[in-house]
Amino acid sequence: MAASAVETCPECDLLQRVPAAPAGTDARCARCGVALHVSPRSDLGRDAAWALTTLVLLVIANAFPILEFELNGRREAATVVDGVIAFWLEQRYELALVVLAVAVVAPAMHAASVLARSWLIARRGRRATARNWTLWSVRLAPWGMTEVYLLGALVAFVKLDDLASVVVGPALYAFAAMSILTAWTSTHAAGVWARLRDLE
Amino acid sequence: MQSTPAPAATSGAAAGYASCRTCHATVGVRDARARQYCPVCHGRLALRVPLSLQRTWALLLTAVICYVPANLYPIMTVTRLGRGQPDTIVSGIVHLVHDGQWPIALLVFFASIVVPVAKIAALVLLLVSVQGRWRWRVAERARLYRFIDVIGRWSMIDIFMISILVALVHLGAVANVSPGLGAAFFSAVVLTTMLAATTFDPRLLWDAADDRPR
Repeated sequence: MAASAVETCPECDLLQRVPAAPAGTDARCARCGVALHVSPRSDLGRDAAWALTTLVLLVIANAFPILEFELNGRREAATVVDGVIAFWLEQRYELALVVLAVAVVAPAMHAASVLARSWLIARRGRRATARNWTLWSVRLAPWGMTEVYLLGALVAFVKLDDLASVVVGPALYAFAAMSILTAWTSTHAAGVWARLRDLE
Repeated sequence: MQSTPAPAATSGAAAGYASCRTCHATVGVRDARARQYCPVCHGRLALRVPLSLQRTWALLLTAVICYVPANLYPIMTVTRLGRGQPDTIVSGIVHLVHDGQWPIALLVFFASIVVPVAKIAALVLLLVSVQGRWRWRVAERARLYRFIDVIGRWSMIDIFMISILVALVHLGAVANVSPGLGAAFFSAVVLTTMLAATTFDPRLLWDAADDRPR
């Protein structure tokens, strides 16, 4: 991309000349101040590492219980999918589908599509395929709610605490790890589109 | 680092440039009425989100309608030793306060009451300000939009909490938790307000302030 490209701000549509920002910084819109994300290319290795780690953590998050509790000698444990099944059995089908979509399917598909797009772009694979995976990764991003689920589980923990002795399961730690990891490494999608343009 | 605006501050739309909603590429538009696709991501290009105001109003109205049963019906019923106690969003928070769980009570209060109400109110303000062609505090309203776009998802806390409790506590008459109709309406409120924030085009705020035809 040219050192001083003409760009429109995605938030306010001001037409402006954007100077090449120094590494690690972002040019800001002259009118509304939003970051314009023009120059940097995303780090494909870092994106792939994030996606792989998240996929592993998602396996843990789904294979192990989030909370376990004991009451009158009976021990109960619940995984994320148990929560989905419980809604289904109570005939709250819409809630079962919503939780399944935003707590399991969207996070998994988002991480998988980030991995696929990183791989395809790095390997200079077919541009159309790389573009489709990138589109999926960008569209799914807002619907994965692992960090919100973490807080929901903590509220459930507190609510149960006066009823019985509750123990935090391995899945809760996996959710915590995913939330920290995403907060640390989340990158703007602009860097990926810049990479995709390079494939031309 | 600040960028420099074009000599006379013009919008991309006025100069014949579309900003792609998916990948933010700036693309020259030959004919505003013809179908054109983004060369980078192949998304449909438009100078502004089509029917943004109408779609945002429709989704927002749905959210407001769902908000009433979401608060009137119980979100869950907790049964202890044979005695069932239905909880609405508000009574659930009151119980947390009575139990002395102040931090968690505040968290749920913000996620389940402040965020949805603030989000609906803010979107109504943004829509009215565009239609009334307000020039007042455009930058602040644009920031308000970005803020509500980010916080909306946090309202799902209660739904996830109920999901875990229902799965974990099923000891018949001793202890049992079952979900209520209020939870279904509440999740509809969260999802429709998230979609409403997505369909709202923040560039309309600046168009209205410039008083240029859309």
